[in-house]
Amino acid sequence: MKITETQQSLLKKCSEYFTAGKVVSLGSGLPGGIPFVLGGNHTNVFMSTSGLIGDWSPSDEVSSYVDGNGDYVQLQPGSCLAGIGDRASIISGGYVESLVVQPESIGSKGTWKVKHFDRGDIESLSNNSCQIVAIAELDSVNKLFADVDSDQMIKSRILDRIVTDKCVLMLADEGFVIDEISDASNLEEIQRLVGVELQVSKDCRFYGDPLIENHQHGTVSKLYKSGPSAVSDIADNSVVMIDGFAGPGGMAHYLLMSLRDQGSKNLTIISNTAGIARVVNFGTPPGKLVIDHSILIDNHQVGKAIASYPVSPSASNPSSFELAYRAGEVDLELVPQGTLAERLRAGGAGVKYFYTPTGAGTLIAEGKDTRTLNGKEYIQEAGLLADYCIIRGYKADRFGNVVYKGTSRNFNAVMAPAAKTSIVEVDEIVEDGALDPELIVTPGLFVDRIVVRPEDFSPYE
Amino acid sequence: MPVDKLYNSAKEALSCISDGDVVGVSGFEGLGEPDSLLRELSVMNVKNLKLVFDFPVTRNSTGADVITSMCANGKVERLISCNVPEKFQSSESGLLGNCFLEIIDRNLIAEKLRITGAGLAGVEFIRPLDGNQQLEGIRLDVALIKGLKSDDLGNVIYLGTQRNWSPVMAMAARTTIAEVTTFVPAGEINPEGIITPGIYINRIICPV
Repeated sequence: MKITETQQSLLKKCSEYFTAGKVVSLGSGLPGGIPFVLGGNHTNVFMSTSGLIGDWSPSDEVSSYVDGNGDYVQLQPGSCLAGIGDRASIISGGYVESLVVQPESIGSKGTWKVKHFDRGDIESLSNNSCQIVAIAELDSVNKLFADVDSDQMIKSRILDRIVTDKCVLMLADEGFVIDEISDASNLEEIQRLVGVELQVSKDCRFYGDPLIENHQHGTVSKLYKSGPSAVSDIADNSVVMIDGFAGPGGMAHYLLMSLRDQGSKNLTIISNTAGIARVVNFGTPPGKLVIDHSILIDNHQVGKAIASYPVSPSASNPSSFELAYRAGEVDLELVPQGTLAERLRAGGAGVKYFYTPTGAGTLIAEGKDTRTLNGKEYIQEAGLLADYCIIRGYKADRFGNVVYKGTSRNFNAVMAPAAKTSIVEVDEIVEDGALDPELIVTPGLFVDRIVVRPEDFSPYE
Repeated sequence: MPVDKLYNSAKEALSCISDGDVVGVSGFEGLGEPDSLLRELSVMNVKNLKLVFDFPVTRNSTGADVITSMCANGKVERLISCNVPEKFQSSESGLLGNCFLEIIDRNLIAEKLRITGAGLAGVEFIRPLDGNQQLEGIRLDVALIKGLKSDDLGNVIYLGTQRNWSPVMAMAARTTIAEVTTFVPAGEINPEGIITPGIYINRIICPV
């Protein structure tokens, strides 16, 4: 797309309102120019309507990557891809901090009209955790505030601010107020161009000053020096998701040990099992025990487990959890395995309830709402969220993009979006661009902390 | 012996489509559209289809837009989309030729396809502004998708933003037909990179 000088400064001003490191979703039209104009000089993760995540620059040649406007781009290192389904889940899961849209018209009381394309994102993101910024060029619009009043208008109080090339308007109770004004213009001219009388806010700033000095530079690193440092703030009573399927592999043993050493109490752990690898001891050298959830239970750290396979396969060889459960020391919520995976996925995608056929007509259905569709019965299950998850990846880059190895992918991929703070243990951190964007399974936007498993670390004790 | 999924032509692959079917078509901004399948569909003897898509731009051999020609000749009776290109908007609201146009927000279409694909009856979203939102699934009889490469077992990988709607449509359809650029023997595609496992794919064409 061709971007004029006026548009360039408009887009740069708009980017001053993004929080460092956060995800910004770009609507159709002019917002698509933001990655081009910033040229990598930022720390945000952009998301396009076409499914690009990360950062990109214009491409003169035909490429396999198009942005939301249909222009060819080339991906910058650290970027990855999402299908439209994954993108919808990122939006509904609350991971987008800012949405930038170019409206067709704006009503003076905060109602506005956009392309059909952008409507869905605006409605999904109209909550307190996402700021919605509209951009518009003053000179090219006769009246920015048209007197539009049709059922295509979106309800008011969703738009947070309007960034133009000469001023920034903020939505206040009385309507729009001018919050920043350029010295190339004045109140009268802006009112004439916008078409309505505007107030000037008490704290109105000069448009030329950057909002916060250098606020785009320097973002908190996701790399933690050690397991203990990555889990140090996990408080008593936290809800912690723990990865793994059943056996010794595919588990974040280093982080588990670190959590045991850290000692926080009355944790609720969410995992496929409640620690059965240790009783099965598959592949473990003689005389040793593999690390699993049992080390937390033995250390009296667990108050409750939510699991699909909580007991060992052999009644004569009970796991730590089973012994603790029989002694009345821990609670259990039993969840069918597929339902557990879907509850995690639902949590990460902002879904409150879903209706599944699994367990209908059995003990699992007790106390739950049901519904019937085409003669089949479904029961209501709730999405699961956690304060933390500790998961095992294979390799990560500094942005937090993760790839897994074989079946160790298991529950890891679905836990990362469902936890407020996701902590990943990997074999190595690779350099920017070393991970093929097509192969990235967990985009970095879901990952908060990365720890490298020490080379000499043993999962046995 | 695995079922032979590779078909010799779009015509043979599309033989599973019946009158009145709900058909999903992948594609966004011209990328990831199953062109050969769409062109063949537009000349097939079938009617009253309901299409779910993001408005493909494929043209047939005479240069006419495939979607509008299908609406004009009665093959399609209902379009479900989030996106209405200006040129298709007619004076009567909701109607495109003799077709009914149903507009659903993009993210909701994706979620409804996923609901069906995951075997759920529905979901409920938390919506702070206007109360909780209940969604039911959209079931596709057939999905027409575009991929980069497929193998004997039907595993599909995509290239760049070609991916868009294909993965979620393949999950939500009773029968998925994939049009791919390259077809390889099982084992050649890196397992870690497979985006759509072959369990979701029923028929493949690889036009030359």
